[in-house]
Amino acid sequence: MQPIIGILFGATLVTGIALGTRLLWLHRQTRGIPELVIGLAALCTCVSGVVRAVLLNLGDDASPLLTQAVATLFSALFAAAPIGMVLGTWKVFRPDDRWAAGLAWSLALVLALTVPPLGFAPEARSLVLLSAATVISVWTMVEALMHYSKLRRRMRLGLADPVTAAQFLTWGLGMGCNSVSRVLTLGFMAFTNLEPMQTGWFMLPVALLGFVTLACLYAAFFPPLALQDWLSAREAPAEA
Amino acid sequence: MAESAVFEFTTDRLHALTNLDELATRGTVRIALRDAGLDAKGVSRDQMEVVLDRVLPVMLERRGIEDADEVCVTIRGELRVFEGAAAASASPESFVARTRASR
Repeated sequence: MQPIIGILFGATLVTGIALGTRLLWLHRQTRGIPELVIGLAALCTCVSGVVRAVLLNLGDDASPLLTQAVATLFSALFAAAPIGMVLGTWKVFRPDDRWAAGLAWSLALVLALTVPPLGFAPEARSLVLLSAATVISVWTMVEALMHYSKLRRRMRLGLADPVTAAQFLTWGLGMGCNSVSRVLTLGFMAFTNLEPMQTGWFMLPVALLGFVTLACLYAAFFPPLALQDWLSAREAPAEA
Repeated sequence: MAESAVFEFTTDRLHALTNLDELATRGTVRIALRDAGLDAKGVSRDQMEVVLDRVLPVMLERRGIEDADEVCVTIRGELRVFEGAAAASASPESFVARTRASR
């Protein structure tokens, strides 16, 4: 099981780095906030995974100061990823809604307070972080799928194109996988005392969902030209 | 956030040209927009033109407006006042269009 999990983590890492780098590169040209925050979220997700692996492999002879520093770095990166995603969700879907701004900044604050030595008690940090991240994943999934539904209706009137609709569907499906992964992890933490990253039977579905999430986001934001052509051709007879 | 100027203009003109009261007029246009996958806050002139062409006439007929087609054509023509007006705000599509366009 370990080799499969390793391959999935490697693939997730490569996909996440490619996604984050491309979005940040795009931000250099467009100065768009969503490109920046979602790009950083993707990179933080990947780097946090690597830092977590380093943390778990630190030997007993490692200095407590080093262990503490790596643990804090991991917490900061792990919290930064959903912060980026929630700010992106607000900016993309509801930039003019005050309630959305309030919700996004509130969740970002809660997540920031999970980074030691701030706010929450150590034993509550993981639970609070995962709960907030789950809310963010579900919110983004709902927004993307609702927008997909709107675009399907617009397509009937020629007011939207199938590729754009597919982009939102893929984004929504990706965040759906992410939501399932978060809920599974929350349940695992609530009902067992095991370390998720060192429990093979649990890590396999989580690693798979993690890879599918980032692969869907990559396909949503940078759909391959062949897929775009296929989608356009598929809808063409209906328009004629 | 308030409704778009195009929505306000359309409902004002529809109210003036039909016997529907203001509440019914706004409700009818909102339902037409929802059926078209649009909303009152962000609807643009081009989008409202399509709604006036293909969605609203049927809805107005159902509400007993006999010259629904004519009313919609009139309002559609009057929407020219919004020609060249800037879009209300960035839409979700603008973000995915930027990412898709990058190579």
